[in-house]
Amino acid sequence: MRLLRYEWSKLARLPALWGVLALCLVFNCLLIGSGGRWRWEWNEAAAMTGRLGQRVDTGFLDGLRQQPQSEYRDYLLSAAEGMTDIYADYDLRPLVDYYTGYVKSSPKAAALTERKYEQLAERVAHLSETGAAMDWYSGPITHNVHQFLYGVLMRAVLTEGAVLGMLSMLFLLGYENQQRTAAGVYASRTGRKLCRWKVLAGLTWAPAIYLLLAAVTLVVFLLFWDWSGVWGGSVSGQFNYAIDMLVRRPFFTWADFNAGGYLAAVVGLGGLLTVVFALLAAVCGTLVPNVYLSALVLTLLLCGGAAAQTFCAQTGLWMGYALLTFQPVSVWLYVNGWFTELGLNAFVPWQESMGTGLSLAICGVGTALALRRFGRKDIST
Amino acid sequence: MLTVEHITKQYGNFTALEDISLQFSAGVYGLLAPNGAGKTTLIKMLTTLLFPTSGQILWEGEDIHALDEEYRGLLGYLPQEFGYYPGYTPRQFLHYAAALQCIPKKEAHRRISELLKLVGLSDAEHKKMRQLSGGMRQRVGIAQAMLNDPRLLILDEPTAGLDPRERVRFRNLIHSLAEDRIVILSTHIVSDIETIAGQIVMLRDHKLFCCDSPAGICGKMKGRVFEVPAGTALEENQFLLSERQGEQGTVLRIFCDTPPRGAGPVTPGLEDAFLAIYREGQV
Repeated sequence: MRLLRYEWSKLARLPALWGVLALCLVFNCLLIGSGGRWRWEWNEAAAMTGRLGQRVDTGFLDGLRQQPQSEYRDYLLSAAEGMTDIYADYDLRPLVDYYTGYVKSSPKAAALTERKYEQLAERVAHLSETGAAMDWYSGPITHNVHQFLYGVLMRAVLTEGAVLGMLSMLFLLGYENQQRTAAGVYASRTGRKLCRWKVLAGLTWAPAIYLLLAAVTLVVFLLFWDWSGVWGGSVSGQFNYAIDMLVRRPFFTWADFNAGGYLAAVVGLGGLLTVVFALLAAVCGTLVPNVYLSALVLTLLLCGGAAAQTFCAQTGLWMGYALLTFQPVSVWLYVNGWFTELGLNAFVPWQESMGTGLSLAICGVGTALALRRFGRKDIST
Repeated sequence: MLTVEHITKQYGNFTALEDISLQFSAGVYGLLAPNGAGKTTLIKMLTTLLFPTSGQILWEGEDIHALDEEYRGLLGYLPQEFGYYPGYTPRQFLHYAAALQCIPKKEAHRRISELLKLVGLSDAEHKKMRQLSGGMRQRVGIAQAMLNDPRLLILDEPTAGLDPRERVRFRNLIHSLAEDRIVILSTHIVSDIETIAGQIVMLRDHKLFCCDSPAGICGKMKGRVFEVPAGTALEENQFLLSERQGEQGTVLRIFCDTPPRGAGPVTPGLEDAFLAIYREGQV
């Protein structure tokens, strides 16, 4: 534990890290400011749901009608009166045909797609039963604000957390070579086992930095955006929708999520994904002693994976593409659609969770093997 | 007892050390060889930083890699290039080294105070390492090597950066420490070990050249080191070792098997032996 604290302190003593962290927070605040065009409308609609509740029923409509007359109230009223249970007779066939049409050159990928939408049909029936479509979330502006929060802000937070986590891990693993202390350190009683403490320090530091970024960013966001009345609303309400490859569809989630639960789930999965990226950095940092070279290898690994996925899509290797959608970079790319069916980005339900879990397992084993190899190789100083 | 059994270290086609066998028991051992002869490679193998390509190193009969941390817990090591954390004070750095040696905090605190006093750094213990002179940093390195009161102390070029007074103090310290432990001191500065080493290990052509007492090594040179006046033309098989200022001007110290005309034999020192053994082209 003493060694873990020493490794953390090496990071904490790094002024550049705190400088970058501060810059990230400033950048996130600027991003929050860039969403200002929806803020008034959201805050009005959200304040109203605080008084009327999330479920749009006769009580909600009566309450809305009793609000002081204004052009905006009439707009909301017409939107609310036009709400129907979109899940009641939702036909998934066009979506199935659209996506299986893409991947038909690979029968296995097509079968996986078919199977995914069969399972989604059960979810659609369930969403209809719960009346999730009739949840207001926060009215007609929901999609824009939801995408702003998850597609812009949370993506930025996740990217910053992952990058800082990876850099911190590489920094720790390359620290002794950089300071020319490797010979003394690895000839001590702890010896090469110090690397385990370094990896553990990096693995705890990465999600901690991510959570700090997420907490500060979300607190600033919530200072300007009123979410007080919307936490309980379903994210599958009909004003929320997703667009993939220009096709619009409701926000089908694989479980019932309200706005608060969904945010917590995204933040939580983001933390795990940060750990995955840190583990990848641990593998590279352990195998490649030069910190700059290991950063280069890690970059090539991440970009190479994304490039391979694009290549598979372009050349019609859909089964290869399907497998590559589980990689961490791919999971990171579709953060704004996590826990939904994800169109061509997913071939099984809960793909982002399964992808993250698999990556955790694979990178965990990879790190263990890399550490084992480090324990058996010469220390070059 | 530390035993080196037929160890060889190869990097691809390059053989850094070949078939070295040695035995170390309590006392000071000077590892004397010019740069590139394999001193540091041997030391890195003794400290488990490198794995031998063949052969094994035994501590009390057990392989040091099998003993792992148990062996390293007995070891104190000052690397040739002593790295440090510039933002740490000597005390903080030694506390970190104590954590690496798994020394309990309280004990470490006491030991660090003792060692800082011993190496004359009590007044500088709260200065950042980056503010210390090279000699002071080297003294921190010596202190960290002695933190765990090692039974095997390995010092690679320990006097680099020390001024003459510090060198003498260091030599005295090593001498006093060597009573009940093995001290291996690698250097190419002959005066560092001439007076304190009981045995000198010399490497040549990446092989073990000799392991003998300084007197034994000098004895082999007896009758082969001569002094001639400066300006004397040297014949083939006469090797210039050094020049010095004699009572009647500059004299040349030469090494040869047959006495040169007009020259008188002199008592060879360890430096003469070193220069004779590693004369030009011989590493």
